[in-house]
Amino acid sequence: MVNKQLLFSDIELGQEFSDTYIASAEKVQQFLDANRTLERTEIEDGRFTSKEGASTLGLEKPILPGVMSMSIISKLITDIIAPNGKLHKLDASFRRPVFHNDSLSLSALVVDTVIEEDKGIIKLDVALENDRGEKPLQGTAVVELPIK
Amino acid sequence: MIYLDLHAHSTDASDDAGATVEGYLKWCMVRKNKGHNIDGFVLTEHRSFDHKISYDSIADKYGLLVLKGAELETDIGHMLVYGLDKKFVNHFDLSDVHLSHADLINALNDIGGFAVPAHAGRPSIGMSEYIDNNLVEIEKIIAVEALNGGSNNEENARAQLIADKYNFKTVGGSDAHFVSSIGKCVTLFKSVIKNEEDLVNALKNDDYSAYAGQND
Repeated sequence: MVNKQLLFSDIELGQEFSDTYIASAEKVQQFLDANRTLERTEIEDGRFTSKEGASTLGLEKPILPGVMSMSIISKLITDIIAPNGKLHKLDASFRRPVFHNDSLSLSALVVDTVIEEDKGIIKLDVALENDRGEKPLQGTAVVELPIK
Repeated sequence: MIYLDLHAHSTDASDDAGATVEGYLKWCMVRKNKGHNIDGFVLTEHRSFDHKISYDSIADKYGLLVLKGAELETDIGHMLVYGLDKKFVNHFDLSDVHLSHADLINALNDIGGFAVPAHAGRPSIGMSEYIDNNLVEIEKIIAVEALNGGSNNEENARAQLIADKYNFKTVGGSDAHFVSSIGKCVTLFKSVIKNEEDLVNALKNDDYSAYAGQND
């Protein structure tokens, strides 16, 4: 299904876009199978796949690769701006681990809108929030939406 | 009464922050328009303090208050410090992540400053486990950050328990690193605060507390 294109004029300060995601073990394994950018040592020590592997690093449960968390938030943003918007910047910091089966709320909150060089620029605060009220990933995104 | 967020980081000096000071000011206005209580904030950049920089003119543009402090790293976790001067900054290596909390508080008392253990209920970077291990000079502490925007509910509850047990006053701070977090947690003061000196006087002498009524 093709998105109805959001325009710059559709966006208001404080507007929030959201989605949910459950980071199941199956989804993590699918991501690991498809993604070849991770260090072999990170995969082999089991931190992403087993309780035992995670415990050797002092973690209570296996975690998501940071790049997977980044992918989840990236998809939220590209879904918002598709098909013709542009992602100029996505910057995030990883503040706590995301564990397997965490129920995540994904958010992108409009914190500024500005016309720059005839381009409709939207600044967003982005975050993944777990059901413990923690935000393991927080960051900013800058996107461009068509003016007309 | 004045509502101040006592804990915020900006791109001016905190490498993990994604918000400018003006971005925070704009968002404070968004919050105020929603009926939230926020009159200003204190920039507590990580391990640094620039005594030369002033945010007065940009803050005046929005009718808000922007003050400066720092978040330093000590042997009992992170501490928010207020009322810093050039002498203090020259005396301590602010980039040291193992500063003695006792030395720090003594030095602040000498210059008329004030220290508050940050996110007191969090493991490792908060004060709670150091209290459990009898590593804190309790008599030097007056207030703790019992409401921190980056802590989970359990961690904030732990901080409040510490405050209750030791009869500490409480402050609230968002620990904002991104625009939309500013003002999530604040401190309610009963006195007038217009500058850092007023803030320290209030923290030492006023009746104040962390204020949680900022739900989005």
